[in-house]
Amino acid sequence: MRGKATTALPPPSQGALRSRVCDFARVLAHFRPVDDDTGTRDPKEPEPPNSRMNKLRFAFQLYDLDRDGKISRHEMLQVLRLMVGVQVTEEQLESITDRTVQEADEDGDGAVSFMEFSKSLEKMDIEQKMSIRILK
Amino acid sequence: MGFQAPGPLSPWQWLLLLVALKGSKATSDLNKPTDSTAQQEPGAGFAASGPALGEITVFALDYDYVQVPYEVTLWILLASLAKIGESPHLGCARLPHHMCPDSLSRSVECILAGHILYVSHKHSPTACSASTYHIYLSVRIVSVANFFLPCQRPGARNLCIVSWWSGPPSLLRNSGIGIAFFFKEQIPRLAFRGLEGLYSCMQGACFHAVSAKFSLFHLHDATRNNCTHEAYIILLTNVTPINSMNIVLYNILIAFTKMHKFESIEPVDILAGCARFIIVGVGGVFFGIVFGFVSAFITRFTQNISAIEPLIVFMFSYLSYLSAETLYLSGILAITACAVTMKKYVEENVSQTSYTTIKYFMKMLSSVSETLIFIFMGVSTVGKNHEWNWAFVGFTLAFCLVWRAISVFALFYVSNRFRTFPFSIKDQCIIFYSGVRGAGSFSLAFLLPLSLFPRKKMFVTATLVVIYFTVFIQGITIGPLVRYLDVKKTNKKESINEELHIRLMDHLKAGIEDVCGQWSHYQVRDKFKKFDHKYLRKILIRKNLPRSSIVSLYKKLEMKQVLEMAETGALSATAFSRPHQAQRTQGTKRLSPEDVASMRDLLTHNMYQVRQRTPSYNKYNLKPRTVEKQAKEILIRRQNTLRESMRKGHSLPWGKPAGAKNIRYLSFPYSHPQPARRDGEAAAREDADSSDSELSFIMFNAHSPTRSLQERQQITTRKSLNRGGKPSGSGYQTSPSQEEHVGRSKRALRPKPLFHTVDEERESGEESGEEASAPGARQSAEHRRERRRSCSPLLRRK
Repeated sequence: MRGKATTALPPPSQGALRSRVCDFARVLAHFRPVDDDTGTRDPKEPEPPNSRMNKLRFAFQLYDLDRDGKISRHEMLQVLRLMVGVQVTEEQLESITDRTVQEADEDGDGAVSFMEFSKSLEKMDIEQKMSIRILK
Repeated sequence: MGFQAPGPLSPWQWLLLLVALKGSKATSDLNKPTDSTAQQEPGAGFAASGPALGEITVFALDYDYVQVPYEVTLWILLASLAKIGESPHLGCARLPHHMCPDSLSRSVECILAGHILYVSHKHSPTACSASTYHIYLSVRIVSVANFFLPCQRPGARNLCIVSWWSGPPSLLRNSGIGIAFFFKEQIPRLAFRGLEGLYSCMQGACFHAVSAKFSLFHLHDATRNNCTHEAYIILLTNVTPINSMNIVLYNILIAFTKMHKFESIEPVDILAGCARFIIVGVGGVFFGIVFGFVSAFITRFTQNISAIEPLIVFMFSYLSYLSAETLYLSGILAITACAVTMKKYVEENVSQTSYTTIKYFMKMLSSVSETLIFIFMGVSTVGKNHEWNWAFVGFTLAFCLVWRAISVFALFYVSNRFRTFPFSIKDQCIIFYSGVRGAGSFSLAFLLPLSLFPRKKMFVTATLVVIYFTVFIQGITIGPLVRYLDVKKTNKKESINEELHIRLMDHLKAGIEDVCGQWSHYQVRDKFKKFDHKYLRKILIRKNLPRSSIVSLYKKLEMKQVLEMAETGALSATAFSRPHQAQRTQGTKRLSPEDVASMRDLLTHNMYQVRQRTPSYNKYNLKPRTVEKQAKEILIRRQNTLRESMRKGHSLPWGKPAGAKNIRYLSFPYSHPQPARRDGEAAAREDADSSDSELSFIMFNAHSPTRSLQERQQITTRKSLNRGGKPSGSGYQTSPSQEEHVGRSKRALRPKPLFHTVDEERESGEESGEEASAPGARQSAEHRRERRRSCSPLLRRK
């Protein structure tokens, strides 16, 4: 599953180390803890990369392998399979995936869009989960 | 405010009290004659007590024989019935529940009970001696410790929080109160006679034994589970570890006082005391862990005798407590550590019924022992054991509150510097305010040895006052306070989504931290988990069925759903439809063993035929004999495993075809020596890992881009058929690319005449392909069949 983190990075471009480092820094920026003074931010500026929405979007990208803006059941199954690294039966995996998609999906299209994804995680403390303390 | 007691009691309870009153009056009347006769015939408990010797009476009465258990039972019953009286469904008019919490009414009843007992007996009942009290207390500790443990995952994560929050606060508070009293002594106007510095430290120990049940109860009750998760954990740690620390301190201070009477205390002794403190704590935990592992190991073997499983759990917990106490180590810490270590493994080993039994028996034990302790309290309140001293009591109360506030806020301040997201002031206030004293502190005060503490009665009085104050005042007002502060609600609704995403984010964060090279507590937890999986689970868990929390959560939710469905009789949700369909198809397709055998024969024949058909195969031309031998070995071995799994009786015929065709490919030495070599490797790996023999093929796929189309087909079909359940680390990394690769290659494949079986195999491969194969071939066979049904729509969808 740690490999998933590395797949979050874009593929290396002709061995340019500097661009790699920049990309990594961009990914890392998502993990900065959220500032408390967001109230003073100018709303017209784009959101900083460590805002809640952007963190969620980053996580969403990990699921959405074909970048179509939706997590299909198949993609969810793949992620689930990667994470459940024990000998779980396929039937169980399928059922779990079904249930996951069923719980999150509201418009009934069998896939989880970004809005549904963020809604299913609204109760979760994303700012805390996806923050690395040393980056503060 | 607390004595509007008669109001909340229902008429039902009045009735009970009257009955008890009558009963106790009767007992006191009976006591006198039976005492005299008991002296005459000490051993003849069963003989008639009233009439003279030599007569056989038809009816006789001997209360003395059963007095102690009788009274105890009666009181327990009374308390339990009172609980019924409080419950909402009796519909009696009384104060709303949040205004009159459980502890309140309980204390009130105790006082009444104590009063009644006192009136009837004119002395404390026999059941209330200090030694029996000790037993009740220890039983209570067992049950409380087991009952109030936080669930495993947050507990492990917050281990550092637990240790931080148990040691320093108790030390701080105890010493704080001690110091405060000591300074108060110096002021001559307020000094008491005979109260020296050490005694003041004693007070610190006693008064800070925060009650477990009540503080939690108040928090629960008042906030209705609205407390933030972390604060809840902290409060829980407040309870058991701090109590244990208190008891440890208590014992040390008693030892000091003993010494003080006869010798003077030197700095060496103080250092020894500190060292003792640490040793007691650590030793207790160590004992607990050892006992926990032993009991987890034993439950591994109790498969067929699940009746003794609860016994094992309880006895080991109690044993750990007693063993620790023998060595003067902290018994409570031992029990807590035992329960924590045991819980993870025992939960998986014991049967469901045993687990339920354990849970409810613990609840029962805890309520019973708590009742008894409260009876003691009531009895002591009403008796003549008091020495009232306004100043002492007042100061005690004041200091308790002040020092609790100081310790809570100071410690939070310090710990907030290390946290990403600090605790709010609201949380801190709640934690401060919910420090309710209860039976714990009463026990400590009650058990003070009178020889060392001539002012014991004063202590007891003051303790009781503190208890009642905190219970009544704080208990009643915490509800409105919480509402006023508007504590953030955390809805603990479990959903698979959340569990999944939380896990993903944990992995993500750990991965990023790996890249950063930064060491955080996630890594510690991961390391522990790895160690746990590798060694501990193999030893301690029966059948070694590793389960991830996602799957167990899913199972729990599914069971809940099934139960709900069964109750309402409604039809299943969509989540069920697919497995149900699969079940149905399985049901229709189940063939008899003879058909299975005939199919197998057919297939074995087919296998050889294909071999002959291949043009390039010529066994006289092939050089490497070893390769051929290996291929044959693989063939035989696979046949054997499949035959074995079929013999087990579950399997369905469709499992075989895939395997058979697979064998064909395996044993099919191509013009390339490479596949055969890989088969050899596969054979070697199969030896190592029988259920994951297919794991090797994942490695092969790393080379897939370089091969020809045919090989790719072959490899991908093999891979899709045989992908094992436990992908290794490298497997993880390559798997996303593999998935895409496989997908692409599959889409690109066209059925070729030579590989006509590829289609079916591909389909059957699709069924089990890209999927974790289960340990039992039955399941994989079933899956393959199920997938066959359900995957063709999937294929089309793709």
